[in-house]
Amino acid sequence: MALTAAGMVATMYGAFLWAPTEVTMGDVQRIFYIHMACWAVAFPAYFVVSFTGIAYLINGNMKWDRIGLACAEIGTLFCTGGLITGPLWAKPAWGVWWTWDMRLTLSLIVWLLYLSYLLLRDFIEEPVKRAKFAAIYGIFAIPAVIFDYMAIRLWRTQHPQPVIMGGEGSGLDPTMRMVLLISTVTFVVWFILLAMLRVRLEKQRDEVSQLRRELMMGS
Amino acid sequence: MQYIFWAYAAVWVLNVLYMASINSRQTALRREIDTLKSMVDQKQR
Repeated sequence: MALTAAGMVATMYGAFLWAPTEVTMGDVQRIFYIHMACWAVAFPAYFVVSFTGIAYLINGNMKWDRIGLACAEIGTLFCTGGLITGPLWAKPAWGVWWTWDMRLTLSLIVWLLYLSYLLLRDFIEEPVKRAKFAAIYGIFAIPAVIFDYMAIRLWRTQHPQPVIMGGEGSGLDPTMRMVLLISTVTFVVWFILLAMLRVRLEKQRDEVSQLRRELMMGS
Repeated sequence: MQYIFWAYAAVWVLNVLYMASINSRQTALRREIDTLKSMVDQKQR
């Protein structure tokens, strides 16, 4: 928790005071440090959902379902952050809040997919059926995340081309890269902390179900 | 500058709200577990 708080302070200092002003976009480019960090958490979180889905289908251990649910929920939280900060950057940079280019459209689809995952889970009462459904859904949803990540590499989009791992001609000023690294690491640590709390919450929910069953059997 | 403010504020507010929701759900569940445990104990006596 203290590490995350320190990281958040460092991110704010880095983004607003340390990082140089970008030549073309000016100060609004500083949204990049939080926008990119949101996606840097959302995408891996969704990958964890698919991995836990595979793990659950292999050994049927409910702990994988709990981790998958936690990651889907937190991934959607950061995906929402990315979808809010994106338009707030797009408006001053492009003159429009939103455009239906491949990257933006796929990001919206990914967000809707995982929002549906969270909503549909609640419709299934039986825990094993629910876990199986979630595992299969998580595996089948991952290609959308891969396409979303690859969109700016595969198609010409209005969304800027990648600045990290973007190949020749791409790159970032070293100070900007350092601030981005600090914000990303902070968000990843925050994500792990939230995921641990969310998994604990789900364990408590299982404990409640267990106690209810004991009471029902006793009556 | 207002766009930067709203972008950062939105992300922090989202995170704070999520943390608060986890806390409130956890408190409610803790209370429910205590109640159910005492009911189970009473039944067993």
